[in-house]
Amino acid sequence: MNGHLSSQAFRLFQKYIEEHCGIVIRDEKAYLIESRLSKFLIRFGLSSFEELYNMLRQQKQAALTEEIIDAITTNETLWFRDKTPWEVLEDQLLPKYITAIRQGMGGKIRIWSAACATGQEPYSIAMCIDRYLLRHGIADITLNHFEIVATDISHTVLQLAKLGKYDNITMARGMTLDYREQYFRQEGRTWLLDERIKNSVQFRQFNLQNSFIGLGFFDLIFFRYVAIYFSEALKKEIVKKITNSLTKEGVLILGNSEVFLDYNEYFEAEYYKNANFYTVRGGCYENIIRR
Amino acid sequence: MESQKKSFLQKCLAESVSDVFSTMVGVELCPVQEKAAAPKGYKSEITGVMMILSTHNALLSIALSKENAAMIVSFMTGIASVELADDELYDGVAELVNMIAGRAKALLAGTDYHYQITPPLTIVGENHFILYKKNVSQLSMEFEAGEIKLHLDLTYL
Amino acid sequence: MKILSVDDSAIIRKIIRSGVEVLDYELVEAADGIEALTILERASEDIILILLDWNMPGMDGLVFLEKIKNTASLKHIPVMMVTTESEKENIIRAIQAGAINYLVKPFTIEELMKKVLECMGEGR
Repeated sequence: MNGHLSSQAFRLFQKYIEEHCGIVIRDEKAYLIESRLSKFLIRFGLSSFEELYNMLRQQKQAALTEEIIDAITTNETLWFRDKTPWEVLEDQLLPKYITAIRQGMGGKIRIWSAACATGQEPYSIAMCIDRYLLRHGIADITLNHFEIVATDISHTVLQLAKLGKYDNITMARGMTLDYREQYFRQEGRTWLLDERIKNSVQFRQFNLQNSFIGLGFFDLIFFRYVAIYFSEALKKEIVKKITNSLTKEGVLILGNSEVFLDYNEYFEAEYYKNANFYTVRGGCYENIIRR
Repeated sequence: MESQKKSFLQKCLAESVSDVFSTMVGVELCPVQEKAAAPKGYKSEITGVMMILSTHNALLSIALSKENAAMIVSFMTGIASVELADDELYDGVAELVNMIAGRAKALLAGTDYHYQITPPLTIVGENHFILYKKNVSQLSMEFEAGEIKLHLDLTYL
Repeated sequence: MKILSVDDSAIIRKIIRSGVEVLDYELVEAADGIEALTILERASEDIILILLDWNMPGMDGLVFLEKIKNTASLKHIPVMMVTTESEKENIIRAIQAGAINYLVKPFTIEELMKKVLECMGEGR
């Protein structure tokens, strides 16, 4: 259903963004695009969106393209989103990681939270691990044995994520009382995350269209509700890059409601408590080389 | 109301309600499958209302219980429902219908159904209902998410 | 440092307050353009950003915006629209009247904070 009469210039811009940035601007969301791009209108002193679309189509600066992608994509995130992937982490993955660490494999267990937005996902990962270790009385292993890397294309949302400060409304979305009591303190209407958890996450600006090589290899990748914005071509490319970024038996976790039709080429799918997770077949790199 | 128009408007309103509630309330409110025609004059405790000004003027209303309104406004603001004053519930419901109408307006821009809106208002009272003249053309939808139930009417005047 | 929220909805102003306080700004509230002008007359030097609704009874947002952009002591204060109006013709009108950014309702707290940081010229 599309009641919105888009201009030809907008259609060309929509096509340009899909071809060059791999981002699909759905017609139903077209109404949001103008408000999100309005700052560029002001910045470049333009008087119409047609002028803006034409300008943006012709420009070639990578930094500006990244700003455009940042402006048109929505940064929605929640604490412990979907709930069950955290049970996968606790019940299926952490026991393996703890064994590997104790066997002295060297190096850290590396986890990547892609398109982390304002940080709820990587901080949820850190809190989940920390609480698991505490609850199981595991004293020889700490969060320092894990490296949690969180990336996003937007410098601005990363700035917000690094604050580790959240309002009442955000805290009501997915945060449970027990986690809140253990890892946050309240100042007025604002909740401050425990410094130890905050410091356990490294935030980096990163464009998923770029090569993943510089990020290194990961034992676990959270790539949740990111690919929904992408063209089919970019999705295929990203799957290959993710495969090449996972260590032996590395795991990929997507959103519970995301469909991953072509996983079979590179992954074994497993299903646990309503969550799908995907173990890479073989893995492209041996641990010893990675470390 | 002919079925093509009804279906188009239903989709548009469902999308608007879903967008507004998922963004502002953090709740996925979904339309309930149409059962037998709902009796005219749906009763509720709080109704948010907008005038829709177009070639065919209409009234857009969302009706809910006070308890649901408290739950929703609590999610919107992060304030416990017991700490919310009644005025805040009425204001919250008015803002929700305002945003639903605004969102639908954007979806309908450039179509035959495009419109302008007025500021929202709220009707309050136990077991109140809005009584229209007979044979008005009306689209009614029910939405649910867990315990939250919302009744939406688009009534052509 | 203070941010002024001009919106006829107390609930919207409360939601905005939640986001603004995370960024360590103090929020000053006005329910309409007249009240906002009174606040600005008293203490404009403290206000570093105005978050402005459009459709308000009495003085609507655009009239208020034009008024402050034509007032020597107030025109320097950046203004971001926070409104249900999303059509491009209206966005252009707001920009031509002097708005520097635009946030459509419904919005998430994250979007609000991101846009406030953009208005402050941060996050680059």
